[in-house]
Amino acid sequence: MSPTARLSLIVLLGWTALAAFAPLLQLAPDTISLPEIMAPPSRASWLGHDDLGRPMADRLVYALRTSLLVVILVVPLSAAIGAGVGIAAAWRGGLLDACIARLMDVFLAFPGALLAIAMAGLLGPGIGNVVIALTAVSWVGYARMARAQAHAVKSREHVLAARVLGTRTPAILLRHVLPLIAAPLLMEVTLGVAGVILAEAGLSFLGLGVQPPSASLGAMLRDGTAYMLVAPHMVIVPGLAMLALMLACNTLGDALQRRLDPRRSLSLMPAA
Amino acid sequence: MIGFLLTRLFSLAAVVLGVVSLVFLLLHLVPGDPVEVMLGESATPADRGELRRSLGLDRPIAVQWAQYLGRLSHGDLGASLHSREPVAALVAGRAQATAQLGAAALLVSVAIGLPLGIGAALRDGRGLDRAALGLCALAMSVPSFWLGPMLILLFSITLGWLPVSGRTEAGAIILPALTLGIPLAAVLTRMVRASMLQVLGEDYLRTARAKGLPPAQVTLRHALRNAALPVMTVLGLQLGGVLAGAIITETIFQWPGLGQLTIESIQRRDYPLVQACVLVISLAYVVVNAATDILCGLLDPRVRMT
Repeated sequence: MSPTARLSLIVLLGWTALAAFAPLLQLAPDTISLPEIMAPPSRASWLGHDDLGRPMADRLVYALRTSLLVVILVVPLSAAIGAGVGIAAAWRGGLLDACIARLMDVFLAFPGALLAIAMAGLLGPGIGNVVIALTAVSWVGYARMARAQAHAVKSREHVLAARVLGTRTPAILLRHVLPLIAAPLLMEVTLGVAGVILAEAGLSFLGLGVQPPSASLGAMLRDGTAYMLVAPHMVIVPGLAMLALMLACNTLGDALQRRLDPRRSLSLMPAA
Repeated sequence: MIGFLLTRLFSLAAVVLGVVSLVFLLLHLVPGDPVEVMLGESATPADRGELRRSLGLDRPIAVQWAQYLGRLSHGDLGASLHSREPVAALVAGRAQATAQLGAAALLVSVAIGLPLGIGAALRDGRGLDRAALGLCALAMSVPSFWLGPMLILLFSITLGWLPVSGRTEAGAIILPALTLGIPLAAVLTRMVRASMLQVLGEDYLRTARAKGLPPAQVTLRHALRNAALPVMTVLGLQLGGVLAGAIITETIFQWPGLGQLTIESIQRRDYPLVQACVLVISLAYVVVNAATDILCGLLDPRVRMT
C-alpha cells in the first residue's frame, strides 16, 4: 500500500471514529454565544465561531456525523438494490432483462446531480428525503455494474455445474455468482462514498438537505459563503475538511482500482 | 453506416420518451396534494378545483401522461404558477446564459487539460507528470461550492480584479467558468495523458520518429490525432456533469441561467417550471451524449461495429 493510500485510509478511519463517537466528546454544536459571534480561530477555540457564536469545531464534528449517517444509509441501500436488480436481470434474461436495461438507460440519461436536486426539492427538505433522493439516483450505477458482471459469470462452468447438481437459485446467486462480482462492486462503493458525501453537502448547500439547527458540511459552507467578507474562517474551515475527505476517498478508490484492474489505471470521478 | 445511424437514433428516441415520462412522474413525488401545497392553507375549494382541473390532476394518471406528451409535442410546457408566463419562454430566456457558461467552461478545460495532459504524457513519471497528477487529484476532489467562494475571495475581494457575481459586468463569466471548468480540466488532463501514453508506445510513432519528423509534428499529428477519440467520448459524457454542476455554480455566482431558475422554482414551489427546467437540462444531456456517440462513429469505423 502506497503512503498516500495509507494516509487516505487513516483520514477515513479518523472521520468514521470521530463521527461515530461524537456524543461521547461532550460537544456543544448548538450552543449560541452572542459575545463570540464570528470570532476568528484562537487558542481557546481552534476553529473559531460561526454567525450565531456556535463553536465551529463542535459543529464540524456533527457535520461529519451527518455525512457519515447519510453515507451509511445511502451506499449500502443503493448497492443492495442495484446489485439485486442487476443480478436478477442478468439471471432471468429475456423480457425482464430488456425492460430493466431500458429503465437503466433512462436513469443514466439524467445527470445524476440534477435528478437528486429535483427529487429532494419536490419531496421537501429533511435527512430522510435526502436519503430517498440519493438512493433513487445512485442504485443505477451499481445495477449497471452488477448486470454486466453477472452476465459474464452466468455462463461460467462452476455455475453450470451448480445448476446441474440441482442447487437452488438463491444459493447459486449468493455462493457462486455474488463472490465473483464483489470486487468490482466494492470499487464502485468506494467511489460511491465520495459521491454521496459530495451530493449530501451539495443539497444542503442549496438548502434542500439537512435542516437547521442540524449541522452539515454543505449548510456550513452556505453560511460561510454569506459571511465570507467578515469571517473567512467560516468558509475555509468546512471547505478544507471536505476537501480532505474527498481527496481521501478518491485516492483510496484509485488505489483499489489499480489493485483490482491494473490495465485501467485511471479512474473518472462519478459525475457530481 | 445508415444502419448505425438508424439504430442510434431509435435508441435515442426511446431514451427521450423515458426521460419525458420520468420528468412527468416527478410532479407526483410532491407529498400530499400538490394543489394544496401550491395554493396554501387559505385557498377556497373552488380555487383548488380550478387549479386541479387546469393542471389536469382530476384525471387518471395515464390520461395525464398522454396529455403531457401531447402538449409537449406542441412545445407547450405549461404556465408558471408564480408569474403566469408561459414556461417555455422563461426557460428559453435562461438557456442561452447556461449554454454560454457551459461553452466557456469547456474552453477553460480544453485550454488547461490538453497541453497539461500532453506535457504529462511526454514527461511520464517525471516532475511535471507528478505535479500534473497531484493537481488533478486536488481539482477533482474540490467541491464546486467551495472552489467558487475561494475564487471570489481571492480574485474579487482580495485582488479586486473580477466582479463577484451577476452577468452584466465585463469579465463576470471568468470566475463561474473557472469554477465549472477546473474539475473538468482535471478529468481531461488524466484522460489525454492516459490516451497519449497508450499511443506513444505504438510502432507507427517509432517509425515517425525514426524517419526524422520534427518532434512537434510527431506529437501533434501522429499521436494526438489517434489519442483524441477516447478523449472526445469522455468530454461528451462530462458535459452532462457540467450541466448539472451549473446548477450549483450559477447559484453561487447569481448567473441567470437554467440552473439558477431550477433552484428558484423549487424554492417557490413553481412545479411546472421545475419540471420544464429538469426536462430541458436532461434532454440537452441526452442529445449531447448521442451526438458524441454518433460523431465518434463517423470518425472511427471501429465504433460502428458494436
